[in-house]
Amino acid sequence: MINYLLGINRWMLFFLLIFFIDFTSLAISYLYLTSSLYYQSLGEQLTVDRIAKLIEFSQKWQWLGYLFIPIVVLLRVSFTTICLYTGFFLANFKVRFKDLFKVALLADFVFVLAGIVKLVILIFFKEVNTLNDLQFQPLSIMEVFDRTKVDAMLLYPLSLISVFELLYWLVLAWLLTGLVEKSFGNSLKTVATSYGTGLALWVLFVMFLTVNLT
Amino acid sequence: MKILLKYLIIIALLVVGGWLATQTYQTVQAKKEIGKRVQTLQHCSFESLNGGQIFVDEFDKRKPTVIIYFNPECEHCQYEASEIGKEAEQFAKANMILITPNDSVKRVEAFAAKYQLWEVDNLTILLDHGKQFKNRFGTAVFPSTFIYFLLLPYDSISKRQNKSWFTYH
Repeated sequence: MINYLLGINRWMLFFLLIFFIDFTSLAISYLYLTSSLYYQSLGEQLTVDRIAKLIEFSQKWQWLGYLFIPIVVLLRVSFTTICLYTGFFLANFKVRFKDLFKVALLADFVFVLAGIVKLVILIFFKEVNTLNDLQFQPLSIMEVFDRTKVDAMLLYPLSLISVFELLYWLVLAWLLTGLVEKSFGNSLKTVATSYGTGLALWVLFVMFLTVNLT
Repeated sequence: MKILLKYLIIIALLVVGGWLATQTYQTVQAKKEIGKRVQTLQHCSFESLNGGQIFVDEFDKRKPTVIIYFNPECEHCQYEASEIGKEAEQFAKANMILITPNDSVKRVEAFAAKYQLWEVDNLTILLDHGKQFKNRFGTAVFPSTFIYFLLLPYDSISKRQNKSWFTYH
C-alpha cells in the first residue's frame, strides 16, 4: 500500500490535492457566502452601502483566492518537507528531498479530509447565521471554547490542535516507514522532533505576528 | 564540518524560538499595562497643525472626548471622516480629536477639507510623531477610536474629588 502510494507521480498528486481543496472551498463559498450572510453578519457594524461594496469587492477578487490555493499548498508541503529533511539530516539519515516532498504531499490529503468533514458538518449539523459560523475548525480544541472570548493570540494554536493534525502526524509517520528502515514508533518520533519543532516555531511566529499586529 | 552545521542548525532554531517567545511575552505584558492605562484619558500631548503641543485631556470635560487615530490614505478612515462631516452637528457635542501619524500637513488639511471636517465644532487634528500613539494607546491600527466620558457625580466639574472615567474603544 505505502509503496503504491509513494509510486504515484508527484505532479498528479499535487493537482489532485489542488482540485479537492478548490472543490471544498468553492462548495462552501457557493452554498454559504451569500449576500444575506454578509448583511446578517455585518449589519450592526456597517451601513448597507458599505456592505454592498464589500460584497462587490469580495466577488470581484474571489478568483484571486483560488489562485493562491496552489501557492499556499506548495508552501505548506515544502515547509513539512524542509522540517523532515532537517530532522533526518540531524539524525544522520540519508533521504532524498523529493521523496520527502511526496510523503508531505500524500499526508496533505488529511487536510482535504478535514475540508470535506467541515462541509458535511456545515450541511447537516450546523446552522450558519454569520460569517463567524464558517470560521470553525472541525474536531479541534477551539470548538470547546467560545471563539469570541478567547484571546486572539490563542485562536490559531487552539484551532491547530485537532484530530486532523494528529492524523496528519500519524500519516506522515506511516508513510515514512515506507521510505526509511524505521518502525512506526521511531518514524513518529522523527515526525515529532522534526515537523513538531518546525510547527512549534511556526505557531510562535503566528502568535508573535498576532500580538504585534492586532 | 557536518557536525558544525548540525550544531549551527540547532542553535539557530533555539535562538529564533527563544527570541519569538520572549518578544511575544514582552508584547503581551506591555499590552496588559497599556490596556489598564487607556481606561482613563491620559495626560499626553500631540503636535497641532500649527506646530504647538496640545494635551488630549485639556478639552472641555463636560463633553465626551472622542479620539480617532487615522491615516488620510486609509479607505475606512475616509469613510469614517465622510460620516463625521455629514453629521457635523451631532459630533459637535463631543471633543473630537483626530490623530494621524507623521504626515504632511498639506495632505491632512486637504483630507479635512474634502470630508468637511472643519464643519464640526470642537474638532482638532493632531500629528503623531515617533509612534507616540501606539506607546500611549497600545494600537496603531487605522482607524482606532477611543471614547471617554468623565462621570461627575455632583454634576459639576468643580467637585472633582469623585471623578471617574468611562471609556469605550
